[in-house]
Amino acid sequence: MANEVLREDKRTNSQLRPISSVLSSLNRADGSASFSFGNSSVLCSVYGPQEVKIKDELLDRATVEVNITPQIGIGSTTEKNMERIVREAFSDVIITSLHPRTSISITVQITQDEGSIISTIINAVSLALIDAGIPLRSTLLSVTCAVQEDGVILLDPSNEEIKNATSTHVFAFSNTSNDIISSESTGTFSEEEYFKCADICKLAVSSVLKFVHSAIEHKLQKEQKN
Amino acid sequence: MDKRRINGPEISVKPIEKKITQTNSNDNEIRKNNRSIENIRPIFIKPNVIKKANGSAYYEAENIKVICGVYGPRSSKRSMVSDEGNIYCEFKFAPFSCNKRCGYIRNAQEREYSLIIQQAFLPAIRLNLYPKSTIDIYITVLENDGTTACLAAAITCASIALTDAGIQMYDLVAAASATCIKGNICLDPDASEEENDTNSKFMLSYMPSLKQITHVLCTGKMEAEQSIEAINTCIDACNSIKTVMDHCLINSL
Amino acid sequence: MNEVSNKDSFVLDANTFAKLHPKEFYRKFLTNNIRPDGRLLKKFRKTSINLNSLKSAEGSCVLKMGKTSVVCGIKAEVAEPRVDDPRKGYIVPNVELSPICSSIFKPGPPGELAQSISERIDKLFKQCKIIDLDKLCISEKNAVWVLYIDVICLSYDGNIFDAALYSIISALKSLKLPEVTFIEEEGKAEASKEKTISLELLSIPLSATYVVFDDKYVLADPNEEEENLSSTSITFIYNEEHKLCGISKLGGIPLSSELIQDCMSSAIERTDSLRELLESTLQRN
Repeated sequence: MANEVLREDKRTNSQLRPISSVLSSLNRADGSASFSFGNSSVLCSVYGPQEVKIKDELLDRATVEVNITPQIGIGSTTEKNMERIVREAFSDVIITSLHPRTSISITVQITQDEGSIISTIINAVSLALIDAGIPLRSTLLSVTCAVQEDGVILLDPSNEEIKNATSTHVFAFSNTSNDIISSESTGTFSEEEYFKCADICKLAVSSVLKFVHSAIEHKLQKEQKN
Repeated sequence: MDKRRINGPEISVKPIEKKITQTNSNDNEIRKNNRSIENIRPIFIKPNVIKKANGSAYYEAENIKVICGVYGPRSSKRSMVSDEGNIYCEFKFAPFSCNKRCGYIRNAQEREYSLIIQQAFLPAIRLNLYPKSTIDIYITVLENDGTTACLAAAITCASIALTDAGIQMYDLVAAASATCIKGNICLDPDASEEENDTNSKFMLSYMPSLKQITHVLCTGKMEAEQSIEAINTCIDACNSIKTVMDHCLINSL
Repeated sequence: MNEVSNKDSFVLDANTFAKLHPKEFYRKFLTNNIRPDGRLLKKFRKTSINLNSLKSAEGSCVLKMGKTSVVCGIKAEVAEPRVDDPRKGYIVPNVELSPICSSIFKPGPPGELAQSISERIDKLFKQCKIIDLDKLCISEKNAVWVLYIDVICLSYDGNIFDAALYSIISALKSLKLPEVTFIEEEGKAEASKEKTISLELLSIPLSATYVVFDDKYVLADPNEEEENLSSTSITFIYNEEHKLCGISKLGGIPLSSELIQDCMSSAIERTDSLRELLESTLQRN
């Protein structure tokens, strides 16, 4: 395409960074996965359904807990906000009513933050939940994009690109619906830009979904061999 | 560094205020605020201001603004079996309430005041009716103009909030504060009067109908006779505060 | 003795029914396009603000939005600027949801909701130029203003983000900083009491929140009960030029773009009316 400008890391505007993932990398957890967009990578483990603390017990459904630990030190308000976003995003995806009075505990360790970290976390959590065999309504996947000052939309931006952007948009879509499940937009932007970003991210999510499918198939094949 | 809050720079200070040369025209008067020594600031109390609380009240006396929420009686967190209920009190100055910014975590003074309020209510609440339960009293000072006066305001305000919550009490508890300026007992001191020659702080909480004192706080330099005088003037003040409280409660019905 | 005439018909009174079947209770109202508190679906609660009622703070706002009420107070202090930004001041927003405002909040350090709201507001200040931080400079490399913005919730009944943001913006509008001169030899900042300067806001972003009940009913400005019963919520932040400064849709059910667009136009209307209220309150003061 003519108007596609190459970015600093030689990607086109609508190109994701290379995706990679490892499933069941932790053997003590019920399910685990690491996921990375280029240099942004996280490790996620899922425990559950397991015993719940009495104060968190819900009579009609499972309690979902999310813990996010940054690369260095202990979590601050930034991580707490991400925990809330991730927990709410999965609130309707996990079929919690199947396991009342239990807890499903999701722990995320950020191993490297090079931008689009919330999307990376959501994708890792999805994979880890699948790996743990937690009943899900759909597969929730997320992609971030950033709008530059000249209106150019960059998919899966790095930290440097987010810094120079006028607005950043995180979208999460499921494989069963065309509509937005979760969205987190910051910066100044117009309504058209918002919906344009949503469309671009929706397209990108489908390619992430393809990757997720092949990753799971690959894992299943490996298991069958053993 | 508090990881659970947004943090500013490590050190910050209030700018030094330029000394304003005051016109000491009324130098021979004891109080600078046009009040006589036995005068307290006019009080406004409004019950039932917090929707989700069992009982609540808002108290305002010129620049003193206090809000109190009462939750309970609810089951005690500690599984200790007790025949009597217990009171838990949390007293806090809002960060922006004082001349100098206060921290988020309760300091020694706020903890002490929490205990004082708890003690002031112990003889008044019929705790034997609430076994295995806790009554939580949360008090936030939104604006401070005289720390002792704020403590007295908190007790009066909590008293209304407890009544609003329907907690059974032997009597309302009213509280009044005083200080000693140049040998005179001045009621309801404001922030400028608090730092005076004797540095004395006096606060009395009192059950007006039963004529019983529930708590006396007396610090700083004060002669024995003066303390007795202070008790008497504060009792008078509590009686007049009680009429305000009565009015407020009758109007809220 | 009055016998119950018909033993078979078991009639629940409205309050008991609302407690036992809250969702069904809401559905019965919503099918008639009205909410249990008497509001229409897209109607916001009555909002009122009171500016500068606290003398101890440099700027303050007491806000009431239905049964939700918050107080925002701004304390200004002087600090050394960062070495890499010698002219920029600091803005430190914090939201406190203390146990006084509702029994769902426990004593101790702020919980997830309070932290998340503080973080969102902090991000908003950093990403959408609301205040020119250079204007907070007193003396380059030596002294800048720190604005400690504290929001305390007094009564919690849902939609705390809208309330917090509106109270902060209103308090900032009413902020009066003393004029300060920096004395370099002594390293002191001296403030004069008589002269005050107010701060210019570059933009006035305000928010509007909606929840979706049963996939089809969009309720504006939810109270606590509606928040708990709904299946998703969406918040829009608009500035005075009708540009978006943030959208946050938290999980739950998917929302179609038509529905979002519908909310957007209502949100513009709402944030405009809030700005009008703020202007008229400022003029009255």
